[in-house]
Amino acid sequence: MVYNITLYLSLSICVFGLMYRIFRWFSLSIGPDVEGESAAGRMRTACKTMLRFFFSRRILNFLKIFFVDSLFQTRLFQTSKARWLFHILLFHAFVLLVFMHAMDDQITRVLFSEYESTLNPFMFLRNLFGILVLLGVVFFILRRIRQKPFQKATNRTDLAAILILSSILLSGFLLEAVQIFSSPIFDEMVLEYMRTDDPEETAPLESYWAKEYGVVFPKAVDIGQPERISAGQMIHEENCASCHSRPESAFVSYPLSIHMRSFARALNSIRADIWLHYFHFIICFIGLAYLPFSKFFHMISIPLNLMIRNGESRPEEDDPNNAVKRSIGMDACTHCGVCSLHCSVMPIYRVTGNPNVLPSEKLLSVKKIASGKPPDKTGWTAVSDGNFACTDCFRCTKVCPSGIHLHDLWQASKKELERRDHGKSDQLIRKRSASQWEGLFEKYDIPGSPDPDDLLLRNMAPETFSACVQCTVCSNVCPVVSLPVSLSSPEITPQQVMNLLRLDMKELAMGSRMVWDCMTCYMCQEHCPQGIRVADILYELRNMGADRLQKVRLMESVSSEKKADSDSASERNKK
Amino acid sequence: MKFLFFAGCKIENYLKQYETSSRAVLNELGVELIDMELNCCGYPIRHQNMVASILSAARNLAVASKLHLDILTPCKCCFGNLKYAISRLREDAEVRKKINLFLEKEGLFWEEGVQVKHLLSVLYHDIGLNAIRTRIKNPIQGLKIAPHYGCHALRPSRVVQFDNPLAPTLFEELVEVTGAETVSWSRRLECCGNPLWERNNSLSLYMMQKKLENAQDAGADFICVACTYCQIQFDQVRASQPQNTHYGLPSILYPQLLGLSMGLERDVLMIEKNVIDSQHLTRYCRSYHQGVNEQRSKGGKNG
Repeated sequence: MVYNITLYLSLSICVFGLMYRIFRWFSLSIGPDVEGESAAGRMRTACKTMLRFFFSRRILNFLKIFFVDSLFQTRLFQTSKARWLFHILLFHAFVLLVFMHAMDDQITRVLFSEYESTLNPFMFLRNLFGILVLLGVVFFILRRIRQKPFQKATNRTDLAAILILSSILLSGFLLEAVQIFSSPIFDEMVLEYMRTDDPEETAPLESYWAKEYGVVFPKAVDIGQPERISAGQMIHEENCASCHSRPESAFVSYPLSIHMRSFARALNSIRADIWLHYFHFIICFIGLAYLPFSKFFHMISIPLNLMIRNGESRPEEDDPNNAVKRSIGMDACTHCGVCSLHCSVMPIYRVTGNPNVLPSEKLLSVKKIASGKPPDKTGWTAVSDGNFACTDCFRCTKVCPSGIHLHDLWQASKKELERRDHGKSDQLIRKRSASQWEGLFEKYDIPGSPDPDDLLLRNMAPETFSACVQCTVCSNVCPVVSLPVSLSSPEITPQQVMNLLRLDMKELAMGSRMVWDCMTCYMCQEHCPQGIRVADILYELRNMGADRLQKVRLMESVSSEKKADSDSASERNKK
Repeated sequence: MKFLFFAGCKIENYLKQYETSSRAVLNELGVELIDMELNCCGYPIRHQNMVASILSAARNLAVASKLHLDILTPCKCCFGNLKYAISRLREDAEVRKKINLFLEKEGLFWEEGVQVKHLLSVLYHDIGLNAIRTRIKNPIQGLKIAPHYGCHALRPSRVVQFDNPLAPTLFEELVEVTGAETVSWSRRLECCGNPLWERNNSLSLYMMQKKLENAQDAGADFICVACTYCQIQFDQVRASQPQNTHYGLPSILYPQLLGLSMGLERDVLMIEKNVIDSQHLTRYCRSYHQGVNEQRSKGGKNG
């Protein structure tokens, strides 16, 4: 009863969850190129493509991807042999457990008429598969602990997956161990198969089972008399042997059961076997219901992602299915973190601590934006900085075991951020004049919070620029200063920047066109007769400006969010 | 001669021909390149965060030091930033301490020792013009080249020590060794404009345009570069701009030019991969093919 209710409940949650996840593939949107397409329109295009596809020769390639890349996980093999080994054992052992053990009535019994869960090879295999899955789980836990970047990155979904999987396995082993020494189960079985509860008749069998099968009875059973044991053995062979292999075959649960013998009587008296049984199937059903919302969804999304990518190295720009492909790609991420380990700009993360620099974490933010929500507590500024720190090295895309085209996603997310006014600092700085920025920069120069890494701003010390005699050589050789006014009016020239520093007005310089349009060609520095590091100073003013701009953006986005909230609230009130 | 090859982030996916032609030329001249997974040189983030930039560079230097190898890079911006990081690490004990604290977590350490060299400096100083000259099989004839130096290799000279910053000759000499002529043009030491690409595009394009005009006025047939970003600017960025002119003045990568004169295979030079058509470059040495082959076969008999 409880079993059926929970089963159907979790099954329906699972089905609806899957439908929801699949629908999301058509509604998520990242990148201006796919903006404005309706979910229905995307579905129609996808259906058309699929139909055309099924009647083309490419379907053969599809099958190859399914069997080779999905079942044998070749991409993971290329990434790490150890991870591949443990993952493939975990995955295949788990699938076999589901088919052989969880769905024994539907599958195993149909295939093998003599099937009993307590018979070999099924009992042995169940233990084998179980321990393989558990080994895999332990391996993945250790990997997360041992590899520094993952410690911090491990999130709730990762923990939930590990927790559910290990609970299923541990409760299963525990259940079997408790069942082995359970005298109430023994009594039930005797009643059912021997059709007797006469203690005289069952006493030899009790002795035999206590000795050979590890059952623990409420009262001590005599196992010292050989005649009694052999009498028990005869009854056993007549009634029980056809359904029971030796318990040692349960090579995990039986030793566990032996270690637990001292608590056996207490556990038997409270019928721990029944409670554990409930726990075991309920946790399995929770896993089933949670599947579409969990990390385990990658069982569906990864093969699908590999198939729709169909081995293409770069997505075609005008592919009408790009939006859907990107969404499925985002769903295929298991947050395994391999991309981040290979990320070319990892040192930036180490210095700034901005998780959005790392592809595995950036993807989480991009996914949130794609579903129309603002990014997490890190905020737009961090997401923008992380996205624009990428140097297009493609390494994440190459190593991703799920075959996600991450680079295409980053191209799209960068454009999306620009569209939403969260572009590069360079774009934002151009929106105001130097003197307007000066006001804002001064406002957000929070005392006590030094500019980051002021340690490196050595060139800003007075002795570095005080030697300037305003000879204007730097400005004369500067290619930016020489530009026609129509292209850029640098507002101030390099030698004026030096003067501003002397006047302690660096905030005015920090937002100026001169600082942000500097070509970094180092002409000024090379030519300075006083040996002043002019270009280095401009670099550092830009660093400081970028940092101060971050603060301004953070404060402004907070206030604009508040404004948006109050706007939507007042709109609701009007309605 | 053995170096740790520092390709830089962009080369593999945006300028493969630079990588293959550099490798081929160096291989021909007996230079062995070691490959490792390295991280970004720190040049792009230097605009925003100096510590992150220096750490990026220092991590690569520390990896090279662990392998007891010097670094060779074909990219002038990578070269410039790696050199710049060394100068900051060298002159400032506190910076050094801070960076090494980060590196220690990975079992790495920065100390003075690893040399960073640009492709051109290895060709010029380590291999030498004479050694190169002996490998030239098909001297380029009648081609006028405008060599573009690239800012980050040349300046700040105190840091990079590439060549005389005001009157360099290294690149001209390397171009001339292939048989090509060089033109003298006033903007040869100026910026290609790429550092401002995607930051201030109109400015970036204007800078490039000015250089192209100047090179063309000087009578050049080709611009020659030895930097990933400069070539991306002169070739791909230029080609993406419909209103751009001066298509008659394509940009060629130096190892493509050198490789051609050394008689290297088409498929490693990949001249057809340059977006703005540079195929006619081969015309300047094709006429010579036959003569060279005849000479060689004669020489073979004599020897």
